[in-house]
Amino acid sequence: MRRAHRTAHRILWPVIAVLLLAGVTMAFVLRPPPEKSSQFPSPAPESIA
Amino acid sequence: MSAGFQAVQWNRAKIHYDVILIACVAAFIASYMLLGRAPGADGKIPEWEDLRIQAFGACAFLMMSLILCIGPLARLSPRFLPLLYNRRHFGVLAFCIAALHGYFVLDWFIVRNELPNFWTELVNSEHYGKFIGFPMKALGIATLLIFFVMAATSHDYWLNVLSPPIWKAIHMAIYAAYALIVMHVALGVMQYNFSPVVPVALALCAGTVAALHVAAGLKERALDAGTQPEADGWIAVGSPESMTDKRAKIVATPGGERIAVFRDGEKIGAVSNLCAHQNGPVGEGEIIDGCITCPWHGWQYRIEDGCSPPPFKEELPTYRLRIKDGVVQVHPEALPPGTPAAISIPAST
Repeated sequence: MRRAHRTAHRILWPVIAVLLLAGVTMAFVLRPPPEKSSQFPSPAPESIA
Repeated sequence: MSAGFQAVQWNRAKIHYDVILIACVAAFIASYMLLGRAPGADGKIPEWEDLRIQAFGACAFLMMSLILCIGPLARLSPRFLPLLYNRRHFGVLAFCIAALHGYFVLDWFIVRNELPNFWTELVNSEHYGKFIGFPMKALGIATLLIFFVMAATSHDYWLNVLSPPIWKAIHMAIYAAYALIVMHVALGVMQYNFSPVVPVALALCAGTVAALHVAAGLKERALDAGTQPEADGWIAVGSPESMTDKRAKIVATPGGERIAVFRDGEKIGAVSNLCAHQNGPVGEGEIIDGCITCPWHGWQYRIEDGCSPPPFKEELPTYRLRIKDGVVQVHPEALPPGTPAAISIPAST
């Protein structure tokens, strides 16, 4: 790997890690409670993919 | 390495790698679908067609996570280099599994005459302004598109046409694809499946991938700081005795690229640490059959002049060497690729 490639990795990955941590945490905390989500029949189209 | 381009240049190691890979994928999907048929808390047994969507999706996500772990693991320890050797086949297979996941989803909608709903969900701009409720299928489709470009350009032919730096830059899109796929799972299956397995598996996979990359980056940082040249511009490598036979010492000037200084018996040669194939770290390889051998894919170069042995035509830049006061020194200015520059260790050393 070139020096520029390694530098890009060093900058990129902490940023990706923080973004993913924030995104997954928000998706987990903000998800609707089980009672609400059960309004969708199983398997619902939205829940398949 | 090859003097020409072939669709797939099979060898024993690649066949072993692929057989193990395909067996693991088949075992994962079969286990997922068989275990998934167990009745849920409500007594319902999931349909096969739903399970295959989930099984292929979970498999593609896991494969993508593993592929992204191989690079930093190989940087952290050479024990993992064999995994890197055929990583491209791993990636192409992961694309095939992800594409099948997409096809099964599409088929689910087609069979039920619900394709218009699928389309409406994708084009309804209102949903794009939300976080919970964001069209997670759009994230999946974007990932598939990136994956397709990477799989389509994975062959050495494209590497040669595009040149290693451009090819590498294109293939760094895998990081964006991984971020998209993590959010595809977080905003998709995690929103309706309340089993702790989903968030735990997601955090474990994404956390491991990110932690390994950050750790590998920190390890590289020390070497990238470089070695300050002496007053006359030469960089000390070490005494010939401190150099392991058939191996290299890697040095770098501050702000410069790395130089691999190899010892092969009484011969010492310095070449660029960037393999002509994929910019792999040749200095982490060893001398096999009298040639410097890149640890990534086995491309070879002569220690004397950085040229690949005939019929191959690749060349690496070389560097001038000298021994001063019993210390091997290298000049940081690269010579044109293929220039003979190796020296011999004096008999008394």
